[in-house]
Amino acid sequence: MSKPATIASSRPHSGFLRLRSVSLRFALVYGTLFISSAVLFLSFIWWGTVGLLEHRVEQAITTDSRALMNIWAEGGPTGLSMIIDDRLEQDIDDNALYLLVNKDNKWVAGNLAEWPQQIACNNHWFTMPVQRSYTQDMAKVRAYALPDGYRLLIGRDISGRTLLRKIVTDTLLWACLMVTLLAIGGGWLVRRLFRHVIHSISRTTQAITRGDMSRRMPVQGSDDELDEIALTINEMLERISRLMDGVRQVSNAIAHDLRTPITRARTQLEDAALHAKNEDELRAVIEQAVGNLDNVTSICEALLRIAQIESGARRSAFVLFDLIPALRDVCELYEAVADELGLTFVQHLPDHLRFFGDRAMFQQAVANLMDNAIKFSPPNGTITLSAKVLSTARRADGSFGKQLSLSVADEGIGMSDADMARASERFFRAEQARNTPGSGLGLALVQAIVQLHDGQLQLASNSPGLIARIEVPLPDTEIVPLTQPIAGIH
Amino acid sequence: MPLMPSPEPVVITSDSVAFCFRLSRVIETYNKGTLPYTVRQLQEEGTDLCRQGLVRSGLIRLRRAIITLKGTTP
Ligand SMILES: Nc1ncnc2c1ncn2[C@@H]1O[C@H](COP(=O)(O)OP(=O)(O)OP(=O)(O)O)[C@@H](O)[C@H]1O
Ligand SMILES: [Mg+2]
Repeated sequence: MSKPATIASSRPHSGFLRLRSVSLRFALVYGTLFISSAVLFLSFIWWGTVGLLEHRVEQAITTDSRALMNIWAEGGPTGLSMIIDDRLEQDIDDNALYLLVNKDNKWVAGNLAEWPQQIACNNHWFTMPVQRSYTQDMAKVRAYALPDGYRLLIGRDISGRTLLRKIVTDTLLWACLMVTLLAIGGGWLVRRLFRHVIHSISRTTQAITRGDMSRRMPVQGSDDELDEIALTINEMLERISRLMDGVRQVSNAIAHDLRTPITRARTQLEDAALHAKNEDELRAVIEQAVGNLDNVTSICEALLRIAQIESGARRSAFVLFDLIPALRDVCELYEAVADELGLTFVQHLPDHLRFFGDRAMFQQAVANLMDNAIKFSPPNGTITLSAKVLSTARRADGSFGKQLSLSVADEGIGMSDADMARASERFFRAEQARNTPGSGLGLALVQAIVQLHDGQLQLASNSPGLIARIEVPLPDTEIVPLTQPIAGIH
Repeated sequence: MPLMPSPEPVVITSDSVAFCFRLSRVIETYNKGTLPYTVRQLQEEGTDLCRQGLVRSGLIRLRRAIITLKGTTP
């Protein structure tokens, strides 16, 4: 068991921002995913509007330049000047910019006052300011070198597009801001949700680690995955605490049941040592003490035996045998006892019954049941031992086949339902059985033996009395050779 | 797309009253005397607007007149 100090120190500090916290990582992943998909989406919109418009302008200028080059090739500077004038006269959109200058940088045609110095004929796009009558606009231009030192500048006033671009860009920036806020909010929510779940689990498990086994996970009743986890964990806890109770009870019982005879033997020996007057008295006391210590030994043996049987190691000693003579041997032993106590003993047994199992152990199981029946019967009661074959019964493992049903019924004090449920626990003894001798291991041993034979032990009320029934599957004769012990595999 | 390092705006000359009159002259010299009614209407309106200082509105009307006259579509 770990000390509380180590538990506390191994727990991470619960600061607000813990980078190693899973919930924060979850929230970050959520936020990143959300923002990146939003950025992708928004840049697609930007590209689809502003990018497209800019591309259109560039395309228009390029097409225009090709046409004008052709004109130049046919008509030279004069032809080009005329066409430029024409274009300007018919430019209904009022956004075209043209300028043709000669090699002395003198104006030849166009609607720009002079050649802007910074613009060279180098296949680049330029954005430059232009002065209109009242406003200053932006223009996108490109310059082309012509033969004889002539230069041509073609452009478009893009202030209208600039406005649109500003609107779109502003909108996108705002959208980005909103998306970021949403992502942060969403991430925070996800984190809270996650923390809530994790914390309720860890709170419960921590409480359990500190020893509070009664704590359970809260179940919301919404029937979702979280509830499923909670229910599973609760079920697990339930089972663990049941098992722990069992272990605790068994160890308590072992301590108690072993202490009683040991203490008794000790007291007897001490008493004898102090007060015994002669050797005979001493001998008698020592014998009693030996008897008590034998009792301890037999309890230990029984416990070891149950453990050994439960481990399944004895299965290698299974053989095919006739169960009826084996049962009669047991009956013989108990008939005498029953007679002595004035009990009637009835047997309903078939002539032969092929059985596959451990002969001595099965006899032990039946003997334990008979022992109980005799022990808890009133005088003049009847004890019935019966065995029959159920031809196509549903076995414990779900398959169908022949099955032995062996029962020992008495008319004694019986048991309550609650006691029946616990009767096969080690050291369990009902309240009414406190005055009878025994250590509460008899039915535990029966249960272990029956389970080793893939069977079931059932207790039922006989009103008055109790019926203990063993149901064990019988072999299919064809498969297993008769009286041939299965070679032990160790 | 390199931006202008020193943005010294270049004057657009087609944005002036003088250009208005030039367009108006172009219309008149195109087909003397027999201007269609709509063209004349547009020309008069345009010139008036230019005189009042509304150059861009005037220019739009004058250009429309020219386009109509030349039978070209924008
Ligand atoms: N035939 C029965 N009638 C009434 N109660 C019974 C009967 N068989 C068992 N019990 C109850 O079940 C308890 C457990 O039985 P079990 O055989 O395991 O222990 P025990 O008989 O008390 O001791 P042991 O068998 O070890 O000598 C008994 O103490 C008794 O309370
Ligand atoms: Mg018993």
